[in-house]
Amino acid sequence: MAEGSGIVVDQGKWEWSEMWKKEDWWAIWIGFFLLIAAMFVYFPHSGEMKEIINKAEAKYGQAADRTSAIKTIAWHKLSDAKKKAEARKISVGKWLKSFTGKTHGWKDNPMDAFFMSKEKADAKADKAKAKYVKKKASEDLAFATALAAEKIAEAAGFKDVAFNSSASTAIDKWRDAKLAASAAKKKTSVKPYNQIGKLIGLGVFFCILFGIPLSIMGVPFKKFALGFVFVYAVTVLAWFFSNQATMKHYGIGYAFWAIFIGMLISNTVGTPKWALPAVQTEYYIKTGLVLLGAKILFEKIITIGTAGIFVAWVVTPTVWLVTYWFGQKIISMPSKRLNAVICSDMSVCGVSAAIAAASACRAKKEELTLAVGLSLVFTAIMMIVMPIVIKGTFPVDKQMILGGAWMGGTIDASGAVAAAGAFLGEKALYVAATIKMIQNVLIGVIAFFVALYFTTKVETEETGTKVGLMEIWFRFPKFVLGFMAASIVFSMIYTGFNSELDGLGRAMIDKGTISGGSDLFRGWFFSMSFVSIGLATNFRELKEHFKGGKPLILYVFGQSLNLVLTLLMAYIMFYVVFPELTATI
Amino acid sequence: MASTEVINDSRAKAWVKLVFYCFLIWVFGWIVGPYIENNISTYKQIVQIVEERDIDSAAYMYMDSVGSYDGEYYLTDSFKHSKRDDYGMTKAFFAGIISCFLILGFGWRFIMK
Repeated sequence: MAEGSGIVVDQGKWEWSEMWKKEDWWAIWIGFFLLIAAMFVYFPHSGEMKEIINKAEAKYGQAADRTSAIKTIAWHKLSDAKKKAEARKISVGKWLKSFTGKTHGWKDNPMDAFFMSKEKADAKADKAKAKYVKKKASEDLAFATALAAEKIAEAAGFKDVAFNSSASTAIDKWRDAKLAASAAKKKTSVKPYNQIGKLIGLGVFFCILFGIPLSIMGVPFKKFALGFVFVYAVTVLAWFFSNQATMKHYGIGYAFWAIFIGMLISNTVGTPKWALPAVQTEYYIKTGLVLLGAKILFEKIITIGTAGIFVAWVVTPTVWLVTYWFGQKIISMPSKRLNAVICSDMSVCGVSAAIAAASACRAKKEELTLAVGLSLVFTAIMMIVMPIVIKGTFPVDKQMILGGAWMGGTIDASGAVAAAGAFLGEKALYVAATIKMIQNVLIGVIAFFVALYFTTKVETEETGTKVGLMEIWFRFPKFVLGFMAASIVFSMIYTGFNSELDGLGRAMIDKGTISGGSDLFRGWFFSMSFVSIGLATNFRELKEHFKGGKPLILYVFGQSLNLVLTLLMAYIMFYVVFPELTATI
Repeated sequence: MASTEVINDSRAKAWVKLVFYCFLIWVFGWIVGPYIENNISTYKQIVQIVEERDIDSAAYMYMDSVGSYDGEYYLTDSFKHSKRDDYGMTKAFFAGIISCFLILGFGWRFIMK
């Protein structure tokens, strides 16, 4: 206590024992344990991936390179063949995916989420086959048309603009038909499953993974294990609901269900006391965030070129700062933390950015819940409204790229961006999803910025003392360092693989260590943290934070600004400054 | 005896509330939701695309969504294929990244005081 002030001053002192006594550090250890384990599984298979990529190059490379005037059929075939190199397709990868799988999709029969007999799987496959045959026929027809159009363009040496244009249109149509046929083909391979045993096994694994470190931190393992049964069961229930067909259509995902079911329990029959030792929001969330860091790969920001970087990396921080200022100065948000979390989820990328920012500034669980809730509601609305607006008002030649960039830069959640983009067309889907992806990379920058700001400015203001470097280090949320370290290390490995052979980074990191390793766990950890938030949230407290509708006003203001600035920047960059580069997309 | 009855009564109310909310979920998932899907044409089309292409419209991160990988691949290859010198680590590209940090620095200095 500072003398005479009556203010509690948290004067920290660094102790090495923190590294095994604090959850921030354990989040880093568990996260890196899983990442390193995934590297051990996949990295020895880089030779096989190289072979697939080299074979694709040998087969289609020359034909793909014969012109740069249009994207020929051979160019697309080369791209498709290279995409087949995925380290996660090795047998261990397939087993890992199956073992860590969530509940399956279902429509009317809830049992389909856990179990499917061979007879039912066969019947489903047969039904899907009929659809596939139709789609395949359309694809074949579109391919024949594309081939004919390409031959005409090639006969003119790819120099006739009209021939090139009609060939490109025909090839684009073939690609759309191929996408639909590929998705239909996937559905023909329905296999029987029984997820119950795997879900139990996975629960036991998670219980050990989190329980042992917690026992070192002072929570008895037996008590944690008992509570974990409850938390895990609710988590499975959240996945069960989020995988129901209608809920999927509306984009109502696991975050909503986890918080909703948790809150429903805690505000009606109450969270059982014996479950509380496993209600460890921060612990699960931080571990998930360290895993998330591994997929924040810096090389990806180059993907959409200079125009895209301005849309995603210039508009986003501008919107973040102006909205934060608006929250503090104009509507006087009572909580700086809630202000920062809403700014992050609205301007960066929804739920994942909200989680990172909330942990970085040590926001209350109710504040995170509120921010996530706002983001989910507006995502569902924007997913429907934006494509309608674009189709109805944008010039046809700008719907795909300008529309895609606009949606990618403004709709919060990646899945909703993909759905809305796909509604406009393949190109819009790709542009929208890529803009969202490079915006996702900003999570690391924003989380670090928020952590630094709250540690050095806000907390100093709250405690009334100036802090030195050691104090900053003591207060700084350490998991952010784990998050950033994972991002830097994996960015370097990714770039290393790509410089060895173009496309190898994707095969080994994107489609190996990450989607075949860390991603399999991250979703589970985030959903367990959301369940914990719900189980510990009092509805009345949540209402308090919503007082005067300020969070809603803040979100609406920020999102409106985001919509205007993103559209403006996308137009200027894609059509005024870099029109020629845009034409190559 | 009376206090036990009160506790049992509020407990029963709590369970009734829980069952009622579960009923509401059912109403949304099986009646209201499908009704909206079938009666708003744009929504119907989006649902069709989501189903056909197997898009996880509830995904929160780019890696959970199919389009991101394919999009990244498509765009990177498109730019490389065009062999233009204004793509890649150009001055303009770095200007975009530096702008981001300058904006944050400006905000730190003047907005977040």
